[in-house]
Amino acid sequence: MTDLAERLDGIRVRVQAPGADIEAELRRRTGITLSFGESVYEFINESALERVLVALARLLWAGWQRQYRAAIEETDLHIDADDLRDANFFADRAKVEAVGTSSDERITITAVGMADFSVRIAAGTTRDIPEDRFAANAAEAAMKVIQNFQAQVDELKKRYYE
Amino acid sequence: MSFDQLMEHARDITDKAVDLTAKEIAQKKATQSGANPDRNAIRQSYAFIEGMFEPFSRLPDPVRYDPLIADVNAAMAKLNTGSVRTTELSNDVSLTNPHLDKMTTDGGYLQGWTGDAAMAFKANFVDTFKSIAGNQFTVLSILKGVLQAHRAMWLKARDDIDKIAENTKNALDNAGGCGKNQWSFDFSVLSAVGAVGGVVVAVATGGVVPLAAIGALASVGSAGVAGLTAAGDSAEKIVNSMKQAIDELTRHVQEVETQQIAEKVRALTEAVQGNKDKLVSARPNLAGMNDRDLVGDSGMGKSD
Repeated sequence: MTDLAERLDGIRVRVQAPGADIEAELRRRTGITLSFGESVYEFINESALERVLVALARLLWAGWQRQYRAAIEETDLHIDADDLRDANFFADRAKVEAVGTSSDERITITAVGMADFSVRIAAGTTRDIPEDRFAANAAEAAMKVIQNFQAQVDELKKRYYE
Repeated sequence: MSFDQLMEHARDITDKAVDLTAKEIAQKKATQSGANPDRNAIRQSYAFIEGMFEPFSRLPDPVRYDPLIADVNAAMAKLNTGSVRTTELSNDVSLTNPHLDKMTTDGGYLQGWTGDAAMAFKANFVDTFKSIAGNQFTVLSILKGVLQAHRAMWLKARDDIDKIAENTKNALDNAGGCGKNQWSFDFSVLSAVGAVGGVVVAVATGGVVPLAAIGALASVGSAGVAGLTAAGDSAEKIVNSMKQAIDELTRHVQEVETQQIAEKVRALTEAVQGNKDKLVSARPNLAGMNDRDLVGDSGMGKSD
């Protein structure tokens, strides 16, 4: 039987944006890839792309949570709230605001409690940078928001559980 | 997981603890200045982990109790007059031994034998035969219960240490996630003796072997399975919790063996010693009689 770490590393979530031929994939916990259908990138504007990325983020997080729970259910670990301490931890975690910005600062992803996502794309981005560059920048911003959320939750967990 | 790979699990735990500690140090140093974590030094600090699991990897194999239990079962089958009510300990002793019936249907064989010896033989051997054999059957059934309890103790001790290893590994693997990381260690070994619910007195019909004290002990082990629960993400917390669980398991195994099981053996020994007359028929007067008395009325007497 594989270790839990291997099972978690092996979680792969692939989602498609509702109403758009744009897909995203999450692998090895923080690795995100974004791919566009043919000619989609050329004809989409920034505000529409922001809405698509928000939808993809929600779907990726939900997919990850579902597979993560399934992996944990095969163990004796307990991850749900049992008492007031847990309830307070989850309430505080829901308020954690994480931000990830691409190196060129064109894409910024914000997540509150990894539930409420917002995406800001600088005006003219789709015109100025090609599809593959945009996808790489979006992946970078997504990875940073995950890492930022994780770092803040680490501190929160130390307060509650160490 | 399986008990056979216990030491492999111990090495995995060490590796995972080293990885997590190195990651924690690296994260701490990212906000300060400092060199990369010294993994050798970290590994050294966790060298005790394998040493804690090693004695458990040599726990007795519960399967070795099976031939002993089978021997007791065979002896019980030979003594089974069918007079002792069935208990969990005797329900796998399949058949009543029909050879023993001849002792209890004496009338036809001995009707013509009269005199003191005939009366004494009937009173001391024929009338008490079922009770004596039944009491021996009862003693064996309790002995079998003790063996089963000891076997269950090692079986559960193996399960418990295996679970400690598995849950420690999982807790280390899940550390650093976004949610709560809580694990538990249970001690099913505490219920080992209670699980052998059949360690109760099987009173022989008409017999009065007072073994109630041994039966009462059976409930001691069924007090429940105490456990340890902890939550957190640091390698130190997870490993310390594992250490505490192994220490407690060691103590519980010793308690079950030296208190519960040894108590049963002691109580059984005392019951046998104190009730020899109910477990073994009295020595016949004829055995030490001189030749003249042996052929007289006080001896063999006469037959019609």
